[in-house]
Amino acid sequence: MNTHDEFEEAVPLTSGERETLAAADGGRMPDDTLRQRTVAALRAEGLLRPAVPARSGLHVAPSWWAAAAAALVAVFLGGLGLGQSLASRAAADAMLASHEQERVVTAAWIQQLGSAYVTALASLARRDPAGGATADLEQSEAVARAVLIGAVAELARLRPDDADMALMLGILEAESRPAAGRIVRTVSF
Amino acid sequence: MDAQRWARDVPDRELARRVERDGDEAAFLALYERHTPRIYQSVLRLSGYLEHEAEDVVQETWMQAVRGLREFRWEAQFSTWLTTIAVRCCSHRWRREGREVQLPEALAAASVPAAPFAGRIDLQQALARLPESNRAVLLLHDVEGYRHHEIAELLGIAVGTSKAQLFRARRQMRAWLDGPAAPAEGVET
Repeated sequence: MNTHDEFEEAVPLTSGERETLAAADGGRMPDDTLRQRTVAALRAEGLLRPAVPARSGLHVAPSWWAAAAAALVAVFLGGLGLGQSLASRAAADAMLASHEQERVVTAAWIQQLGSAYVTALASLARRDPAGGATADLEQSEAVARAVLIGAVAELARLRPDDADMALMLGILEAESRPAAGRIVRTVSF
Repeated sequence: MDAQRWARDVPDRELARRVERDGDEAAFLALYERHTPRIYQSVLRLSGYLEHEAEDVVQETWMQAVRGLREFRWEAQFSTWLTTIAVRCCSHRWRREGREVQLPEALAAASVPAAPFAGRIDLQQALARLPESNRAVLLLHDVEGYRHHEIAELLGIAVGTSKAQLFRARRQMRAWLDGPAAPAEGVET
């Protein structure tokens, strides 16, 4: 009876047979459907997850998203604060500019009215003295005096400590008190 | 495919770690492309060149491999581990289907694919005609390089049975390859 070792010794492989068997040991890729169905079966068992295209393995940790959200909120609030600050400054500047503009306009207006006032009085003074005092002239002088008193009164109120202005106002008001034969008119501004 | 291009130089162990930890499909496809040709060729020979059966076994091999990655200790090469799984899948399949008999002649001949070398066609035809148990022992011992005790463990047979089947397979193969024509009859089992 043969032993197991005698089995192998009885039929040893020749070198040619070994080469033939080795040549058969190639390897080829099966049809692509095998890959597809294998992947599908592994996915079905939850052993594989589909590849995410273009993600290229970029893993973003949840903490990163939280930090990004916090940064966005900070940027938003910062922008809001800066905007409010800029808006407040702009409003103040606008008000100051408006006030400054108002003062400039007022000064210009006073200068124009004053010039007109003086010009009108000069015109009145250039009238022919031979013509005598007429009713309209007297009326013009009375209006001019009343305007002058009103203007000095406003200047005195504007500078209450100005003694010269107070003295001038006193003289004008004394001159404007009603007297016999003098026309007194009230001028409103 | 772009998904595998990046993994061309990545070691098996790193790819397997990604599959096991993350279910990384790109890593799995890289392993699949790298090892499937070898597994498929081995299984194709073991199955007697029945392509559909070989594809089923390859799919089952990958399923079991991915399921068992956590237990694999990397004491052997990944390719060796895969081949072991593939051989076990073949063995279980034969047992489940009670196929310890010779393939029908017509089926064996029809399953042999065309090849450019006459010698290789002869070898494939001869292998296809061998009984599955004899063919498995011959291929595992003379092509894959397994020892008898490893074959016995893989196929669930005694060491003596492995040696006896190798003896019968070699004797029959030599008779077919050296003879004038391939026999139409079966071989002794």
